[in-house]
Amino acid sequence: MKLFTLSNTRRAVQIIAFFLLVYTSIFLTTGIDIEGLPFVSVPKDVVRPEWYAPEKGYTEVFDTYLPIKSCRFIADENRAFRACFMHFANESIVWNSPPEEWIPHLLLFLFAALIFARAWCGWICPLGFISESAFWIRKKLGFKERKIPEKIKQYIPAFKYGFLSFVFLLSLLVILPIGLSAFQGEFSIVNCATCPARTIFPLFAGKFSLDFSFSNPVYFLFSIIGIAFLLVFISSFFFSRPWCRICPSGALLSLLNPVSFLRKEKEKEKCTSCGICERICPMDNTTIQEKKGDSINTGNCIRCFRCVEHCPEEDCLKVKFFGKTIYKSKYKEKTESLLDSTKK
Amino acid sequence: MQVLNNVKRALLGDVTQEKENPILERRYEEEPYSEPGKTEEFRKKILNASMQNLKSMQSKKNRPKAMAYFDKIVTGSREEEIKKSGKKVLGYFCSFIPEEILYAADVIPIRLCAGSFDTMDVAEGILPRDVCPMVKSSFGFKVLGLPLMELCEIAVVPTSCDAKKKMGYYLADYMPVWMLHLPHKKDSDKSVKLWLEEMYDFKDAVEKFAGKKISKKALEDSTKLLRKRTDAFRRFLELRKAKLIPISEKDFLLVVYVSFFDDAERWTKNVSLLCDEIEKNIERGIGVHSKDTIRLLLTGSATIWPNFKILDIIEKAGMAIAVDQSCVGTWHLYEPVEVEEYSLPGLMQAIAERYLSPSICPCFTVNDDRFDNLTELIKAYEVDGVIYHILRLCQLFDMEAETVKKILEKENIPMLKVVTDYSKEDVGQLSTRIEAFKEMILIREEGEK
Amino acid sequence: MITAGIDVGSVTTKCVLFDGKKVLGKALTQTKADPNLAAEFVYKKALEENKISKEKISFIVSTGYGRRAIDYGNTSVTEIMANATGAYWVGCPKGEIKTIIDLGGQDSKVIALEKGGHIRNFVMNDKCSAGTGRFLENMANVLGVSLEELGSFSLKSKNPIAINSTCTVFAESEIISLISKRAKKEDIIAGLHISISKKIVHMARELGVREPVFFDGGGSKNIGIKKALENALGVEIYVPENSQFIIALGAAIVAFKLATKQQK
Repeated sequence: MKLFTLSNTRRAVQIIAFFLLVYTSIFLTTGIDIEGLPFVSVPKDVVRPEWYAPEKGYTEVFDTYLPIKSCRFIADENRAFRACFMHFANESIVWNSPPEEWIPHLLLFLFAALIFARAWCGWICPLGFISESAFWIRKKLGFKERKIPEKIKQYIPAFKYGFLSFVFLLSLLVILPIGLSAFQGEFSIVNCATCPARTIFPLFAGKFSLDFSFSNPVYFLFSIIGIAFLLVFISSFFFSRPWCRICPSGALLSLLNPVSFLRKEKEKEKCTSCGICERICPMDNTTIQEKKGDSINTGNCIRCFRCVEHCPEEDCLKVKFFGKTIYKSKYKEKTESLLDSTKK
Repeated sequence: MQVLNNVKRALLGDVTQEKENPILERRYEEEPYSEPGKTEEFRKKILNASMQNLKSMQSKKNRPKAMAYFDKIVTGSREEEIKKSGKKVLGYFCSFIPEEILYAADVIPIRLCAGSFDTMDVAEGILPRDVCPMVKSSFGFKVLGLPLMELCEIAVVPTSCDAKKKMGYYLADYMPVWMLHLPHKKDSDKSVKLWLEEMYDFKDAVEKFAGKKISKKALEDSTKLLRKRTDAFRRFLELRKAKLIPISEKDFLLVVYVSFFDDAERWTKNVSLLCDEIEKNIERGIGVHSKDTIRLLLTGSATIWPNFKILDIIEKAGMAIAVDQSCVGTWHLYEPVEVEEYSLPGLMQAIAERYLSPSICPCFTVNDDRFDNLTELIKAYEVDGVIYHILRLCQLFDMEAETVKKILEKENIPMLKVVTDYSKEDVGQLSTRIEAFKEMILIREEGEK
Repeated sequence: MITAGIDVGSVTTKCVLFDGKKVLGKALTQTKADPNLAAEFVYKKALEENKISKEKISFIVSTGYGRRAIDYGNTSVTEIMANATGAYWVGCPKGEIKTIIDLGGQDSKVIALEKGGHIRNFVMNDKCSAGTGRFLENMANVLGVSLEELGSFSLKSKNPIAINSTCTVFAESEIISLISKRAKKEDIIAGLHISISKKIVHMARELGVREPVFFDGGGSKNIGIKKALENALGVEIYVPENSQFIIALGAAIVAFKLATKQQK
């Protein structure tokens, strides 16, 4: 059994990232005591639902927002990052923060996204890791895999970017002079209200809370969406990474996927059209197998590089980082992988 | 209720439950024509042809000693073994039929594509004269009741080319024939679905034939076993890239031919031993041809044992074949079955895709993958020229020759088109052509220096 | 240094002696049943007629279908190589030869050359007598005309009759029925020439015909075929003198090149 395969390495990085993000409080402490979001000045008279404000004050180690679901709802005391970038964008727009507060974070985000794009999804995001682990448990238990039906799949990109636009639209609507400023409080948390991470992450820190508010029509709508998204996430027991296909953070990164510096490259002539890459892709990416056009780095690709790992033709698929090839496809003899052995 | 069913099926990803028995049923039955009295005579002829080939192959210097196993199997020791084992035997044509399913049901698979010239005449009583020689040769085995076809209780024929399709129809008079509907377009999702359904029907039919259900574990084990076989074969192919050619094309084709009917595990073990020996030979600088021998690529219609006429002529002319692109050579065992999901649907999907999607057979509407692979093989094996072998009356390969010619012109690789059949009457003319081809390449090389 | 090239064809055997700059002599005989005998005969004849002794010959290259029958040759080359070498050396007034059409006794071929006289590709028809000298021989027999007259006869025709069969045997029946219908001999002969040229044009198209076109082999002496080919291909065709000896000359030139290399 080979130990240092790409899959195993990625799994290890995912586990480390997971522990770092979810259980930082166990490992790290800081002395900073912050209540709310100090960078964003919230007017004192805004009423937020109870479930939104965490019980105690919380601290974080790194004063930044990751492009993934580095959720702020994770731990009470110490957590690694302030929140996810989507939430930051959402809040900054709604509260009309001055540029000097969001420009450095935006630049950091662009920097991270341009270099790695959706590799954040494939290697770091804890939600992705939980998704994949649930899928893997299903495999061990012997349940059949389900594939998202074609009829639904064709609407997914539209929905993904549609929802992303919806979040930004709501955020913008508040600051435009059209009289929706009353909803500032509600619209500022549209991202968190609908995100499944809010419910899932605290589970791992020992907190189980299904905090869905139906107190006013806006919260009602958000909660319906939130429950639906939570169910989508839970279905990752049967489907492969279903939440990742509509995740707004992922959608943001998707926009930069085609130009990121960590990319795949395919030498079309070496491809024998065996279809293994397409079958193995956790995101059901069908453009890898294609031999025309250059659509191999689509918005869907989470850079897990399983396609490159399993491609049987030498040098057909390559991983390039800043133009340098760092991993090539090669014919590999079938050995039992650490994670795939099916001994029950 | 129907809507619910559809939703359920869509979500569960199950293949349709409409099963169909692939058996070919004829209404216009004929009394099968046979010549049983001649079986012994032809048995000797076929053995003779094999021995002739072996004699010339064994006399070559530096032939790996591990080839002795394959020599033994091809001269007939397998027949007794199969009879003694008492297992069911199933014959098939082409390289689209998954042996994984057969091994899982404990059925012995035998690929029936034949290269014997002697058995062609008897077939011409039933099949027309103007038909692919390979089809006539294989059919003749049945008419004469020769092994190993005689041991097969069923013949599985995919609808790949016209000749095979109609031959299957006539073969149904002699033995049960299962015809599997191979899609004409291989690059569409619908085709993969269709082929997957055919695979499920095939699996059911094999279960009924073998009298035992194929469990998921059995299929998993057989897939892993045959994956080991492909792994060993790929290793063998890699070794052929060596600058000093370590094994002749004839030996290579013999090794693949033996895999048509040999036990997979034993074959794999012996190929691994052969690879070990070849590795040592390469290290010591031992090869079967001299260093500056012209390296050729053989592509086109299959050259099946014992029809090594073209190979003999090429050898006599002093050239070597570094690699071939034929369905009885490199492409019989090339693609691996990569299973991610070890559930029954997952295994079946992986198997169905492997046997359909990467195929380079010209029976499909678009076969551009073959041209890609051709240019890749030329680069990987550092080939100086291409011999495009066409069996007379094989329209499929003949038609693709035009595209191959244009592609090779662009790559500046010389190509020789050779149209021939199984008979020995055109050896002189072929020699002239092949020698002229060699002269062409030599002058080209000199010009480049 | 003098070298010899011996072309053992299916119908005739030719020998040419070469000294690096010009042809010193040539000889021809019918191959009949014994290629070895014919080769020996024609070799001796060429030497005797030009008063050259055997010892002066430094290198012998044989070619043609019977090239292996000779045991006293140094080596052999295919007639394709020999033809390309000979034709290139002879050349034509229009420039470097790009296409060679060889109409032999029992086969016909088209050779495509690239710059420098190297063979780009070639097509041979040696399976069937359609489009070969044998075809013409048979038809001449049926029509009661000598082989040499065929060409001039065909030029007289104003109305060639299309001959549909390409197979020698069936064409014979077709001609006999035409004769009984009192068709004009020259029209039939012209039709035959067109029939032959069609077969060659089919081969030539596979390679792509580039000018200048060189025509050699026994059949090139027939002016009717030359005209029919020119019409069908739309190019001017050059027939050299002694076109039947080009292949043997090519073999002699190859012999000279090899002998020169050996000396170094």
